[in-house]
Amino acid sequence: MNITVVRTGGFAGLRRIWRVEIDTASESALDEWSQILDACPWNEAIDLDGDGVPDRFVFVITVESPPDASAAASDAVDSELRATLPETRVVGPWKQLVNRVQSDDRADI
Amino acid sequence: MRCMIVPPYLLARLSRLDATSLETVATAAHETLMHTQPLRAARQTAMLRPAHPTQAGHGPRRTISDAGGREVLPGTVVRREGGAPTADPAVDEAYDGLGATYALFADAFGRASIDDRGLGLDATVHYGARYDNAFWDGERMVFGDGDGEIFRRFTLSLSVIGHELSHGVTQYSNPLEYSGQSGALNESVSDVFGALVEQYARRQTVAEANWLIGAELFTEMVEGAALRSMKAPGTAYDDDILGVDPQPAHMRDFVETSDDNGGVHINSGIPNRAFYLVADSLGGFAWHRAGQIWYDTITGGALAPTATFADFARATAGAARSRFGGGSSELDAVERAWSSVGVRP
Repeated sequence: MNITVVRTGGFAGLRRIWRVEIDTASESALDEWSQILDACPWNEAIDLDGDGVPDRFVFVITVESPPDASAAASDAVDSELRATLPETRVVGPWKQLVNRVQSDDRADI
Repeated sequence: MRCMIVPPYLLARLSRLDATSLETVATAAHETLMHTQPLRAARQTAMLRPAHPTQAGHGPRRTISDAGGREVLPGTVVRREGGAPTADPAVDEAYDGLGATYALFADAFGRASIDDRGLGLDATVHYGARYDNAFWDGERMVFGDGDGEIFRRFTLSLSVIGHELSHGVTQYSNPLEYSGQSGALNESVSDVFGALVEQYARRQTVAEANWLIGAELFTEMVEGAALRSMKAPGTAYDDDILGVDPQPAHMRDFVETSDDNGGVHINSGIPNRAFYLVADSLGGFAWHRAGQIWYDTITGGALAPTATFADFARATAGAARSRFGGGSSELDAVERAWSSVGVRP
C-alpha cells in the first residue's frame, strides 16, 4: 500500500509531494494505518476543490491498494482511494493522515 | 466534518443585505459564513460591513495576535495600535508591515484601510508548527514561522505582508473568483500592491526596485532570489528540491493545471509582467501612474468576478484613458504592455 500527499497552492505556489510505502506484510503497521484511513470520510472528500481562500493549500491524497475495509467504505475504483481537499477541510482524521505521511516521509530521508 | 444548517449561498445573500433593519441578520449571517466551512462562491461575494466605520485619515488600527504555534485563530492579542514594540520580531514586523501597507493605500490612493471605511487591521503570527505559508482568511492576515529548511518566517518580507492585505482590498473592492484566470488576476493584484507597499516604504523608483515577491523568505539552503519575479517571471529560483520557477511571462506559455486552484500562483506571472512593463515604460515611482491605473481598475467596478486576462487588460486601458486621456503616454504604455505579454484586450 502506498499513500501519497500532494500539496499545491499556498503563497509560494509550490508543489510538494510526500509519500510512504507501507509493508502490508507487517500486520501491526497495516492495522495502524487502516485505523487512520478508515476514520477519514472519503466519500465526502471526492471531487472537492479549493475553497477560495487566498493563498491556502490544496491537498490531493491518494492511497494505492488500500485495505479492503477502507476501499469498501468509499466505493473506491481500481483499488485506489483519492481525495482532493482544501486546507480548511484538512482537520480531524484527515489532518492526522497528512501529518503522519509527512513525518514518515521526512523520517525516510 | 461540520454540518451547515443554512446553505452557504443563502448565508452569502443574507450577508450582502443592506437594509438597516436587516443589518443584524446580515452581520450574523456574515459571522456564520466566516466561522463555518467556507464555500468558494460565498467567500468571494461576502462583503463585510464594519459596524462603526471611521473616517479616512485617522490612521491604522492594528491588532497583532500570537497563535503560539497552534492552528487556532485569532490567538492572544500581543500588541495593539500605539503599543510599544515587543521582544518578538514577528510581532513587530507584522505591526510595521500593516502600517506600511496602510500608508501606501492612504497616501497614494486616498483609501482608508482595506475596506475604505477605516476597518481595523488584524494579523496573527506564529500560526501552526513549522507552517510555511501566509494567507488572508477573509478577516485577518495569518503568518507561519516557516519550516526553517526552505522558508523562514513570513513576516520577514514586506511584499508578503502587503500581498496579504491586498487580498483584503480585492475582496472589498472587486472580488475576483479564486480560480483560473480570475484567480491569477486576484494573485497578481496582490503581488502588484505588495511590491508597491515595499517600494513606497523604501521610496524606490521603478529602476531601483527589485520587483521580487518574498525576497527574504528562502533559507540559505535554497538556490533562489525570491518566490516570484514580476520583472522576469520564471527566474526567481532554480533549486534542486524546489525545481525551476514555473511562472510564465507570456500568454503563449500559459499553464493549464488543476493544481493550485488552476495555477493561480503560476499564471499570475503574465499580468505581473504587464504591470512591470507599464511601470518601466512610465518610470519614476511606480505607485504614481502605473499603480494608480491598477488601483482605478480594481475600484472602478468594470470587472466581473470571473474576469479574464483580456477583460482585465481592457479595464486597465479604460482606467488609463479615464484618468490620463485618450492620447496619453499612460494609455500607450498600458496597451503596449499587454501586447508584449500576448494578451489582446
